[in-house]
Amino acid sequence: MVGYLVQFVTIASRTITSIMREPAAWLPALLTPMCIFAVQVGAFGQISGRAFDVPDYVAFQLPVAMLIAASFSSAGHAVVTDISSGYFDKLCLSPARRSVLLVGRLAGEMCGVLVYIAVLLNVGLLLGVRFGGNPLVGAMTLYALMVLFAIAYDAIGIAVALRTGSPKAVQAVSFMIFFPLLFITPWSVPREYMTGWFATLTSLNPLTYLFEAARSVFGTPDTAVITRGLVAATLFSAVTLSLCVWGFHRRLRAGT
Amino acid sequence: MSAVIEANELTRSFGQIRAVDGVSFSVARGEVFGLLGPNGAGKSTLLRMLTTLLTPTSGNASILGHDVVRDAAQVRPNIGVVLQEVGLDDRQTGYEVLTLHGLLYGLRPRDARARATEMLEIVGLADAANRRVGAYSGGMRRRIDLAMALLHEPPVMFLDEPTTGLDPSSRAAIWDLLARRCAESGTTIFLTTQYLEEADRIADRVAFADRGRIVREGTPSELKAELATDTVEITTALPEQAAAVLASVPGIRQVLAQPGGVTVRIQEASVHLAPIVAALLAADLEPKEIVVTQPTLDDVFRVITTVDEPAGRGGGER
Repeated sequence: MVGYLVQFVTIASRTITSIMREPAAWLPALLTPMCIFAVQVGAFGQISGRAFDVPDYVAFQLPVAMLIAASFSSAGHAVVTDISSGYFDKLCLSPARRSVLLVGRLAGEMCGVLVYIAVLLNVGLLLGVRFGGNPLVGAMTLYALMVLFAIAYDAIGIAVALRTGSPKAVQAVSFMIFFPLLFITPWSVPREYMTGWFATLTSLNPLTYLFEAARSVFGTPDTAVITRGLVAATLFSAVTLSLCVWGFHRRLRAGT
Repeated sequence: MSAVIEANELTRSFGQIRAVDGVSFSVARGEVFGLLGPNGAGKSTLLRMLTTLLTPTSGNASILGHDVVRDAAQVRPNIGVVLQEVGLDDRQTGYEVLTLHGLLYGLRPRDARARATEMLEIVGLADAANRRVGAYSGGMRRRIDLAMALLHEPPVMFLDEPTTGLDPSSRAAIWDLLARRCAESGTTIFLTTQYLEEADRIADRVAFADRGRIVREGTPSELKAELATDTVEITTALPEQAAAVLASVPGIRQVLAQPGGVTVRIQEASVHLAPIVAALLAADLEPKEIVVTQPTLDDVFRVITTVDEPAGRGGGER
């Protein structure tokens, strides 16, 4: 048990050190969501109250910015780099448990995500966004939602990295999954204003419930909505983590 | 004494291709076993299976009695592995790479740090300890890689062409280091290489791999005696005629006519030199120069791959 813990901390801190030493890893994770946030609020902030009954568009967009920041955690990219450098083989040769290599890596990445979310939350607070209920519970809920999403999204990248060993494939798949995942949601307009096939697709997307839960934290907290968001995010990450574990076993069997 | 490394009908297929095809062998404690063979012979695939990185398609193997698939967790702490490609995280310093590795091998943090410092000293990288390995030269990277493999003092070492791409002095330094450490601790070594003279010098026993199989196995001197023949190179103005004459001399295994001369393969050239010269003189073909060379493992290798070549490509005779 102690050995497992030491290995876990070792892998996680290596991940954190790598992120900190690579400004190209964390700088875009902070700047990109802020840019999109500013553009969205600038474009619709004045009309959102009249157009779709959202008077506080800053609070409405803050979870979107947080989610985009969370999507910058790049475990898949890091794993594929390790695979092509041969370092992954070295980790696999060590007696460290296979699960530690995965869980430690994800934990390190999540430390980065927590920092990004904290920065964005403070930007929101500066702009006048307030929690509807208990601030501590609200903040914890937000962190949990975003971290669960980041784990789910990272696990897809890791699964592709393990299966293909190709940096291009990791980038392509992450991209292809992320855009529909983000855009087929009530990310800019509430769900009540959607109709037809788009409304149907949106209701199938786990991110829809994640956004609604996060927004509920800033409005009047609705336990049912928040629980639904947490469950959706948990199920989503459970599915992609299973993919990841499958990729790991496949890799050992296939050897490439 | 039981074998430290044991492989039984080990096989690995990739699609239709059998990269390793029913390989069996064993290596005793303290032995240095060299696996030789051309690119694509299956050496690396075999090594990856023995080191738990790759699951065999069929057959089995064990290290110190632990099955490489079932008991992989018991195998890993007991082996040190140097792979063909140096595998490092370029964003870490040399000291960090080794400390991290020590922790993964179950050392306490204090011991891991002490061991990292000690290993950096041993491989001569103490001065570069706090530089990121991304800035290291090829030779330095190989040395830190080696330090990783030796850090936990494994009783069994696997080396996959560990000196490929290094200059001669770096190669010598690496072998020096390995020889010293392994002699001290009685380490068992499994090594693959393309440099046959390295295997000749270092290995107690060698095996030749070709197309996924082990085609010959023995001590370097046995193999040289059994398979390789002395080479006699004769410079003459009329190589074709000379070759025709020499073909009838008893004891000659192979005659090869080239522009400017003939190459003769023969067992114990010293005994047969007189009949060769006599035959040439009798045919009025005066040899201008005769050079006799003793066999090396390279020659053994060439003979094996020539002999085992499928018919149709010819046995090198003309």
